[in-house]
Amino acid sequence: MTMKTEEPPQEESSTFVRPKKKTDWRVVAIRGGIIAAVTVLVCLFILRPMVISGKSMAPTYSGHGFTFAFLPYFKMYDPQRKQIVVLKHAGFNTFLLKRIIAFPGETVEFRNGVVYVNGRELDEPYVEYPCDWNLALCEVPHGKIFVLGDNRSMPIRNHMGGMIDQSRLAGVPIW
Amino acid sequence: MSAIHFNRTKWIALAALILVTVAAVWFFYFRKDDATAVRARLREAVAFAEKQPKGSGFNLQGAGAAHSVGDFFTMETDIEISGRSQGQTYTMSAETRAQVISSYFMMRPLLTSLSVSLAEIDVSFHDADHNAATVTCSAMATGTTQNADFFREGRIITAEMVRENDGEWRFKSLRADPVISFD
Repeated sequence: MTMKTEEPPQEESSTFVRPKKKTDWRVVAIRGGIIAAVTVLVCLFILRPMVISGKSMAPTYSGHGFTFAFLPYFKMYDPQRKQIVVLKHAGFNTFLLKRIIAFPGETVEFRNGVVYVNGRELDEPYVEYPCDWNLALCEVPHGKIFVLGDNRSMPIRNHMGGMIDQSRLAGVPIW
Repeated sequence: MSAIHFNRTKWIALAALILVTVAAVWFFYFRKDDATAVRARLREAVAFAEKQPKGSGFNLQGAGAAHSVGDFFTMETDIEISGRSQGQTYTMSAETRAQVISSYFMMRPLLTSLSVSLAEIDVSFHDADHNAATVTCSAMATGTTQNADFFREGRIITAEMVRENDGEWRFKSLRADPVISFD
């Protein structure tokens, strides 16, 4: 009985060249347009890219940085105390990054740099720079929230914080 | 190059697209209803403020020459301005009105540039004839000072406006509140 041995496939001596596929620019344009449109829509309504400038949230956020604001967040969840939020400032291109301190109906007061909500001291481990702020007791009105930055090293009158319309809550930073 | 062949459906789609585009351009840029006229007047006032000469050093108490405020604000306009840069509500006399208004729009003295953008403009009319309206909007002012410091300030503007007999909209009151404040 003879065994048939399989021979290794021979390399073809001739080389075939596939005809180059012609680029269909209409398809490219349509795909590019769809990608661009989806990107724009996502950036406008879901994940808004944001350049952070300013030191009011230091040391949590340093002077310069980049993040995305997740805009539908407050359609799904309620805002929480000490949560960092993105607030609409004026217009559609400037936002504020602040931390929620108090809600409507609650009282806020600063005594020698310590914040009291409803008369109880608020534990704020995220505040590193000491301050000597004093703010008379005030009640957060209906429809507003009380927000502050983490950096309290400047005089209180130079700090952009306090009451803001709840309707200006835009979203949360994703990092 | 492949030719694009138009059949009847494509012609109709193209015509519809052109119609929609033309309608949108007309709606946003050429429509002249009362609310549009009020918005336009507000934007005119802002454009006027932006064009004012900068760096003159006037301030709220300044004794500098009165600045023309055009016909946007009548002498009867009640103006209430509060905010961190001003710090309090000012009561104005006829002599200081021009400076106050200019200073408000300049936001700070000694500016070298100013740009104000309005957004979220909401117009509500008080009467059926649309002769009186309340306008609310947010205003963002950006610019540089003579010290080359960049500033950015936001305000919520509330203006009461009336249409005079000549058809022009005039400001009866102008209120500017900070977007965020400790008060």
